[in-house]
Amino acid sequence: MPEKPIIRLIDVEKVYRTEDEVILIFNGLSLDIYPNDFLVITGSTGSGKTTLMNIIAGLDRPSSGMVLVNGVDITKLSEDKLSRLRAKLMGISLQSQSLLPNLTVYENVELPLIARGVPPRKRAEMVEQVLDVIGLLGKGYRRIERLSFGERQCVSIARALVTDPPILVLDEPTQHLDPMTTEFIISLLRGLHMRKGKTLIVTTRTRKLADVATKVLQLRKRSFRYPASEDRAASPRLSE
Amino acid sequence: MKTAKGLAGWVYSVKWITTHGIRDFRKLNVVAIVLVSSSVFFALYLAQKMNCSLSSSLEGFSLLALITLVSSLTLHHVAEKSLKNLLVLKVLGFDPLTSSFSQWLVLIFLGITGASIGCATFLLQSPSSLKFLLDSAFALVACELLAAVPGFVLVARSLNKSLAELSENA
Ligand SMILES: Nc1ncnc2c1ncn2[C@@H]1O[C@H](COP(=O)(O)OP(=O)(O)O)[C@@H](O)[C@H]1O
Ligand SMILES: [Mg+2]
Repeated sequence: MPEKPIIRLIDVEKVYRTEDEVILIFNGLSLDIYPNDFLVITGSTGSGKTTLMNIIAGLDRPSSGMVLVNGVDITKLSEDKLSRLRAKLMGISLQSQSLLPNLTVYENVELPLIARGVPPRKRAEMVEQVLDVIGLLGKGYRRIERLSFGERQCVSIARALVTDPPILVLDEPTQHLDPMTTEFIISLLRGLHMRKGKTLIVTTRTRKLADVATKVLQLRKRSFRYPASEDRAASPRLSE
Repeated sequence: MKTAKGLAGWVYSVKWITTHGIRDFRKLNVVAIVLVSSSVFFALYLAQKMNCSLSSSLEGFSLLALITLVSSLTLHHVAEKSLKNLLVLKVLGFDPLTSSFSQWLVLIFLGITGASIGCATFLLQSPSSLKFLLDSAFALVACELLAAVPGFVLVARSLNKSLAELSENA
């Protein structure tokens, strides 16, 4: 029996407007993501991977089109409702990692649990468990500033996992990792998909992750740029 | 039971954001407190020199306006600096309303602490002016509450935008 998609993008268009340019990233992008999908989005730098992830996570709004999460069009939700939806359904790791540098590993990973009102004892248990899984248990007391980029990447992934959300949205999770840690993270993600039935949406620029995906979306760098002075309806011309 | 738990969680969130807003920007916050306290001190000092009350004379009102201006510019700057962290919290599921409210508490804390230090310093250099100071205390507190508003508005508005809209403005 075919399942219903957990996330649907319908005819999504994204345009960035700067002072002198209009940059068209996607137009007419439609995509169905099912609960048991391990979707890998690949493409070169600037192809729009991060933009797409932000739209899926409700951190950015498309210029037009719909994004349905569990049947609800999130492009119309207020920021408060969006943050509640994220808290309920998604674990997110941004490309910029966005860890709080003054805090320790433990405190950073604990944050999503505080946002969800999880009581202290339960929080400690959950943080320790995820740090153990990701191999950072011994470094819980360290401040983020004192970690390597690779270790920070792992903290960012741990923070996305800690609430045990049904959907994981990870933007280039293996970007700063050495080959061994990359292998480890890939097998971890695979386990989350196979054994715990998580929906994974992951971007990458390398093949390795794409090899374990159930679905691959290849984004092409095909953004049109045209001067802002021209009307949007005017035929766009390629920048290169 | 469920709402009680929800409330406890919410109070903890507010407490967390507020204490970290104060703790994590130590230098910035100290500078803010120094600016606010010195403006309050000089206003009190001038008012006493001119022999006018802060809360019931034209000169007094203009001094109060000056204090409010200095404080609100300072607190606005503090709010601006805290935005990046608050945006991270938003991604992690803290709702914008809770974050803005907590940041407002941080700004009020800085304003009131600055004003108190300004008053204390004033009292130290002229111990006989306690009555004069008490007359102005209410107006000073009101000024600081008012001065926290622009910073609060900045945070509330920014957190109600999507990330891309913000980076475009940056
Ligand atoms: N806020 C923005 N304003 C204008 N252009 C942007 C903005 N964010 C991203 N872009 C542009 O959109 C394109 C896609 O960016 P991004 O989604 O980050 O790509 P990727 O993650 O695949 O490297 C790039 O050309 C980038 O310069
Ligand atoms: Mg990217």
